[in-house]
Amino acid sequence: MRFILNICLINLFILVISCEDTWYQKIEPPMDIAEDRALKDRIDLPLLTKGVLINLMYVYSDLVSASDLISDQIEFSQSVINATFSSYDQLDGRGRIDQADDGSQFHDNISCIYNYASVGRFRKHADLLIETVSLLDDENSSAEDTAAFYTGYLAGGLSRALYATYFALTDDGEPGSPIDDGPMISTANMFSDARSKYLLALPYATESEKRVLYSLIGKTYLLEEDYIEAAIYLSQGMEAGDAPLQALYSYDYANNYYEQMGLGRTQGMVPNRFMDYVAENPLEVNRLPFVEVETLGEQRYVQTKYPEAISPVNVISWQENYLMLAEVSLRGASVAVSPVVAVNTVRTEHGLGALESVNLDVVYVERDKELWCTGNRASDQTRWNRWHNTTNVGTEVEETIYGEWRYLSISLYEKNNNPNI
Amino acid sequence: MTNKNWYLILPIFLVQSFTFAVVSGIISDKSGNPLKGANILLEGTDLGVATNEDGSFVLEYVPEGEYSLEITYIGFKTKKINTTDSTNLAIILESDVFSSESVVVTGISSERSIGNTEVSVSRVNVSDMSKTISFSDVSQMLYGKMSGVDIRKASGNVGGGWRFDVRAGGGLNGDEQPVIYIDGVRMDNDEFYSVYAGGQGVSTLADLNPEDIEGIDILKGPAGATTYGTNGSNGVVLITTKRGSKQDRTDGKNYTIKYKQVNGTNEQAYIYDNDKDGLYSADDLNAVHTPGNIEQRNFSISGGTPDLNYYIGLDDRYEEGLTINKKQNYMDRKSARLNLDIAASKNLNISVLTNYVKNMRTIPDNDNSILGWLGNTYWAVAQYDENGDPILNSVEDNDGSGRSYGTQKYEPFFFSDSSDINEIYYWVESKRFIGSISINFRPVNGLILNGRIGIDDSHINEDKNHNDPSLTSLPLEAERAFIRQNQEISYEIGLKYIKSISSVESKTSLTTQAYDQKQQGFGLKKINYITPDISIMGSGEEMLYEDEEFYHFRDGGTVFSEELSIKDRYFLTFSNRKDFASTLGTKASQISYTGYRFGCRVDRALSFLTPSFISLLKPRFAYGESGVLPGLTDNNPILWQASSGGVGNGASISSVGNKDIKPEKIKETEVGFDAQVNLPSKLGFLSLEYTSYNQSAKESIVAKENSPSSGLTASSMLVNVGEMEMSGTEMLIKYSTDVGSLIGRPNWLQADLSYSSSHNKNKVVSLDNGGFDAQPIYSSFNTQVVQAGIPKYGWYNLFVLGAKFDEITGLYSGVQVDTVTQRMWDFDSTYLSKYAGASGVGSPYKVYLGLSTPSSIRSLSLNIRVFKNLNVYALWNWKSGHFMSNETKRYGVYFGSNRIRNELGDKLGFGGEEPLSGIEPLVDFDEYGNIVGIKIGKEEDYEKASNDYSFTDPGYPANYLSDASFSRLKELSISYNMGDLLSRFNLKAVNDIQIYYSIQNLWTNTDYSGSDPEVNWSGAKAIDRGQDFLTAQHPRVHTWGLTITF
Repeated sequence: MRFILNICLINLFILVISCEDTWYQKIEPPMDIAEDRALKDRIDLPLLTKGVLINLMYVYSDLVSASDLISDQIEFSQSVINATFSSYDQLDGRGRIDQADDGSQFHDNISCIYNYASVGRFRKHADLLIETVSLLDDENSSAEDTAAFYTGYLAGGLSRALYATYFALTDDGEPGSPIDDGPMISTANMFSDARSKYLLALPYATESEKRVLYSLIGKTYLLEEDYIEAAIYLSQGMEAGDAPLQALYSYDYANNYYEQMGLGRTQGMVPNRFMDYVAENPLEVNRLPFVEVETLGEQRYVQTKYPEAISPVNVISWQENYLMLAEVSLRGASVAVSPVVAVNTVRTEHGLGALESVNLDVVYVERDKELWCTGNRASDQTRWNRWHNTTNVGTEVEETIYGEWRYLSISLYEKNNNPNI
Repeated sequence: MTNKNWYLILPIFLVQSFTFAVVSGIISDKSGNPLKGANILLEGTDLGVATNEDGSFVLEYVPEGEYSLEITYIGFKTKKINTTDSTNLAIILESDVFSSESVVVTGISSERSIGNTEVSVSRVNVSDMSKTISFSDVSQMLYGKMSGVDIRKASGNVGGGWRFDVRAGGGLNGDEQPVIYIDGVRMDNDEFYSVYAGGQGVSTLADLNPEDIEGIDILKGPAGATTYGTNGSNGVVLITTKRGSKQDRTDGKNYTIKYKQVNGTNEQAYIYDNDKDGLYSADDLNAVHTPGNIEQRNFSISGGTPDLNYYIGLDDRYEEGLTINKKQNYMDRKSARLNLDIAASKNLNISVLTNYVKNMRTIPDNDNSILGWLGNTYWAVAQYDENGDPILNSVEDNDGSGRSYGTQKYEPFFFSDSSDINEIYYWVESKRFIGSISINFRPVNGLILNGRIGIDDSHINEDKNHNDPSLTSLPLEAERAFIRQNQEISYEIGLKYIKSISSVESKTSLTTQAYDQKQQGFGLKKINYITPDISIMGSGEEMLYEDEEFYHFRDGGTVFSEELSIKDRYFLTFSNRKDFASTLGTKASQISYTGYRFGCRVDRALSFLTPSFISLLKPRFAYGESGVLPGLTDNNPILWQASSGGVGNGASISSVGNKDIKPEKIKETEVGFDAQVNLPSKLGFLSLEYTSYNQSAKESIVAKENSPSSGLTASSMLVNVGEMEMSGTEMLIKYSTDVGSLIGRPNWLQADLSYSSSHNKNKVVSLDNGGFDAQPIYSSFNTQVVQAGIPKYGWYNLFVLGAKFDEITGLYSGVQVDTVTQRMWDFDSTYLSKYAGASGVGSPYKVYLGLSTPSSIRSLSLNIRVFKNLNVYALWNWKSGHFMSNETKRYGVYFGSNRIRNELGDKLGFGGEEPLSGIEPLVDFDEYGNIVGIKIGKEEDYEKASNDYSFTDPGYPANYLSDASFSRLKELSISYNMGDLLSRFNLKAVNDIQIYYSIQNLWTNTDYSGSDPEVNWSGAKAIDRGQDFLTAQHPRVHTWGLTITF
């Protein structure tokens, strides 16, 4: 009887033990994830800082290449081998005549959805980094703190500038975006917020980094067509020989120009006018490299500006700063360098001959060539009021563009989850 | 001898004090046929005997006086007799045609006979089926065999995953898949792929060898599965493997040896046709589908002694899929099983069950891929010469495409060259051990202590090579490898106390289940291989990717259960379970579930009112609860992971959680009845089971997309919103007759007919929790939605009414969508005002277009036995009420491979005055080639072509929704049992030989516009379903086999 009693007691003991929820919590911690509260120390700053830059990698080439598809700088054609993404087709042509009913296809466009979410994550990582580093004590402040502040504010500014530059709620509406489920923030306010962040980064920047920040601030004014203010900052901006600010890529996460619109996969074609540029001056190939791809008949080309998966993409460069200086000067602002010198300094870099004179038309073309595949074309077309209404011009699949979209659409996920828009 | 052992001699004295009798008699069926091998047991003793060939038996050493005999025989109802007679007993057993006495599991620690259970349990006697047919996997075994359970394999690729849809599909969260136990051990039910292979993976369930399986019971909803707690919210699949048993063979052997040899072919079931499918390339498409071989050898020994029962099974199955390159599409499974049941002592039984499987599968890069065979042939574009004339295939054209002479040329392998596709090699190999040790200890009469520890331990190796640089966006050759180690340990310990007081039998049990899962993964990818001839990782010059993952999770619960049987007429069960689950960083989540059931054998309770021909009549009622607990990390607001990029390694957000997440509870009420009728005049036996159920889910857990502007979109976030209602009915009718007995020739012709029917419906009642109103939740392709007012994952999009026409010219001016109906929004003006003007999900013009899963499933099986030994079996299935999205066809339009769309466009003049297709336009052109108007007299044709054109517009997914209702002749087999023939020739060395031929998927009738109405491009466990995007069709399977029993 005692034996039976013992068995029962042991069993009941096991049952009681297993009812205890502590057994369920005695698990080995995951080694591939960390809780937020675990990454709040100074030692975590380098990891978090690089995380922000990795998010810049995730967002940058995907976003600016999509913008180039909307502009006339990259074209999509399904007559080309491996060109299958219907989202690219829509970005390039904004839908064919029978799909251009209400633009709903564009809101659902998977490239718009992805890129809009990516910018949001980039912005969030930047703001969280500032939040984390701000809570650390000042006494033990280190170089890691400085790098975190600089990167966090730089990325905070850049992410807001990306919203202001590339997104709009409707095809005929002003660009901009909400933040944190808030109401729509107009481009002007968003650029202003971006500048605030850039200015906050200045105290933590080296001299060359400061010049990058000034160029970025100047660019926001340029895009707002406030050329006087732009000139003030661009004049303090990047100098010839300065290293560009770049999004750096890896084989694991490749540059989208390479991966989808280049040697990796041929889904983005070079418009024919670039062949004309090279035909006019063969040295242009130094900054406009491309290669023929396999098609169903016609000759088409893809860019080789980004020859490898890991080729970086310039976020801002001294060449862009010089071309901006030339433009603001031609638009009446006062800068130290003359437009022709600024343009020729850039051209000389590629072995191209100097121009005797420049005007806004020349700057427009120089920007087309120099800033090819950097996401600057759509805003240039808007600012110069030279929007295109055909794509694949001069090819067998030349197509009329319907619809008015010049920006990536704020995606349906924002519309459906943000009560303020 | 010590004083302590004096009692050992007591039995001698006791035996000597009795006088013995001999009990003898004959046991037969109702027709007078003697029953060979029936077991006779003297109740209260270990004395027993089996009948001889003539049905006679002699039981010796029976104490004189009144005694009670229990007679059991497979296929007949157990009979108990109390008598004082001892000789020449004539006992007639009643046939148990519908196995009402076989026992099914009704809960963790409970089981009842089918005739007495208070809840609907679906049972499939698999071992009977596998005698006359060969199954690739468990999904084939179960398909169409149970009411209320739908089985769908996501693609026709061998080794692929399949989906269970149990009843109306459970709540809103999770993958809706049931938990699966094999011999009490919880199984890994992953659909595995770490490398993208076109949205399809391999099923870990495909590791199971169907030949080892004895039976499968399925508890279908919370009412039945409440004692399984959270894990049972979508049902419980209980797989039982074969066990050895004591053999009472007349030849004296105490074992049985079986050898089964199967050969067969997988062949293309759907043949593409250019006209029907609107293609240019049907010949090429058909050419990349070639028959695949099936070979299987199975060997088993089973037997037993009073102390040890054993089953040993060895199986080797090799099966190729339809893809032309068989190296890319096969399964090679080798399985070994040893099951031991040991009677360690009179009151202690120990079972040791073990299974080791090595399963190699290769997967073609088919689905949703420009690197695969299907995309490169289905989406082939027509070719024309410089004059715009279609290029026809010539007699001399020897491109190997299989195109017939005079057919239009097109561009197959446009995206990737066939030689490149041939070089892709993707394989997954699993090595897996599933085993358990369990004890059953009965220390005193009525008290049972059960314990079990089981393990499912698998090691999966995965490797994918892209040997050709043109196939990848990577710089040079690449290879990726991934290793997954998964270990799942199941614990179960329980006490059961059985007590009978008068005519009331009570079973009280307390059982604890616990589950511990650890999963670890390691992957790496290298590129720039120095030579394609040395493909090991070491040959790659550059590391592209390397990462690890680890996951540890525990859950479990304790169940109290009380089962009552009153006078063997009334049956009641009450249960309560408390569940726990691991939660990262906070307290373990917990929830409790209650269930109660009642059943009444009216045929016994009111026997005086029940006509004698009704052998069973039982109304039943069951209520049960189950639910969904938040996952391990779901309540963690932000989790970080390591990420790598051009700047090095950093931390980025990996997932977003909700700290306030609560469990979701699902309740089910089930009512039904079971009836069995012995029809008069030897017309046979009829059985009817009917069940109606209602389920409701509250505070459903829904994956909410955060606003992208929040930046918290690394994952969706779970929230408690919403309410669901589900309901359905299930009916199973069986009829069994011996046609021969009607004409005085018993066993000459026997027939079993079974018809099952189940209907289900579900509705998302609300996505509102009072404070938060969730938005519609979309799955991939943005055409399936979770939205209040319609069934979950229903099809939902803009509905095309036809073409729009220019008011002045009358020319086609686009698609006219339904902007009037607003069916979706009628019920709730809030939604309408909220989303009016918005597009995308919130478009007020999107309408509910139909279900994505069948609402009605029916099956009919017919089994005919001629001369007792020749067996013909057929199984038909019908599934209806749902739609499939033919994304293959839709995307074909984008690529220009849809001939119907192209020719319609040419009719409307979009191809110019002289379109490439040669179609005559219905419009006039000006001198610049612009369309100026409709040709006179062609107005009607133009209007029709315009409307047809709008109905093929790929921008509107509704255009490519297709009614996927179908009927299918799923199985047809013919088999012959040569046992009688062998005994006639007195071939004692061989006990039985069975030969058979079977066909699966013989014939399908459907209006679906694609190749197969039962595929899903995103795999078996994805929440989106019914989407066909270059998804491999299910093959027609021919097998012929031979089973020899020694």
